[in-house]
Amino acid sequence: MATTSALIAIAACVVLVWSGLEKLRNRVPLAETVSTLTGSPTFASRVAIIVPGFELATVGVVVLGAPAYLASAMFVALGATFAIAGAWARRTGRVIPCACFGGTAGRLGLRQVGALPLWLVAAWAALHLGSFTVPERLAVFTWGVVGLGAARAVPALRGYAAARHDRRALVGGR
Amino acid sequence: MGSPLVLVLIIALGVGQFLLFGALAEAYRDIRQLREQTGALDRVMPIDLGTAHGGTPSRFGLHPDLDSAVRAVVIYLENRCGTCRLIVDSLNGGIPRGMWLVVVTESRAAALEWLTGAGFGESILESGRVMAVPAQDIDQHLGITVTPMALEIENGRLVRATSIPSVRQFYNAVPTTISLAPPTLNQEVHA
Repeated sequence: MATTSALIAIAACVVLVWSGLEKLRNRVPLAETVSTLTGSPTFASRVAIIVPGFELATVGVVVLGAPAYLASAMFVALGATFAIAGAWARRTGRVIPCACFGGTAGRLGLRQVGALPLWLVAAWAALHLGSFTVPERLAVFTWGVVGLGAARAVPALRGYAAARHDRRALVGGR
Repeated sequence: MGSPLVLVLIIALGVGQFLLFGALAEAYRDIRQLREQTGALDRVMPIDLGTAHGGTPSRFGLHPDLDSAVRAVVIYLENRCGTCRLIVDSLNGGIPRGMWLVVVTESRAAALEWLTGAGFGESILESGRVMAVPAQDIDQHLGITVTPMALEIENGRLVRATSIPSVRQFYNAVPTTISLAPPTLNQEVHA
């Protein structure tokens, strides 16, 4: 039970690291999404810093062993925020791009509402991490971050191969 | 399990790597979008042959041997075009089977100079596989002067023409030729 909780909570943390870092690296997609949703660019630019900061703070709270209820509440807050944004976008009837993971590939809507139970599961898992020490959490999280780096390398390497292929095709050389 | 300090260090490095790979992926995506915007993509474009479609090659100033070719490709190159230069340099003085070259130049001497500069022998224009023609002749025969261009011939007829934007597409245009070796006689049986 405790191991399952730990794996779920750490997996949620890895997802949040991806999402938070990508949103911080490029704040424009999230700012544009919030601006389209609320009509306030000033509010949107603040949200574009607060949301990824909150995501990374949640990770810190889980991994560094802060009180379990705090981590749990932060997961619930994130899930609820995303679900409300999805429902709001759906209600407007407009196509609003989702800034999920920092990108704008999908559409903000029912998917975010449907993801709420997953956030609640993560919140539940965060409540049952008591038996794990901080070094143990760090160790599992380290593996997650290493895996994350490897997963992020794949599109970069594919892009490199495509660019090199085209460059050789168009201008020659090695 | 490792000390917490080491683990934190690995996490920091992992996060840095994640950000760098993310930036790199985005940079390549940007390059791709720029290429698409400027049209610098390695894609062949079909060229309308008009009334030349289905005609015999010799009618359009090409070598009469092509009238009986099952499958052949004629490549039109110009001595002032950069991609043509890359293509001719990549040949290393040889021409793939089933392929013929037409060099669009102002004179035969200019064509020879261009070809010898790319590693072809002095007698290349006498081989029959390479022709040197002025642009006006191409205009007169085909009504188009696009270089580099591949003109495909099947069963002695002009079937299609495409642009050749790169060396890679040039090698994609090389016709596949299947040659059957003559049967070898079993000496013991026939002795």
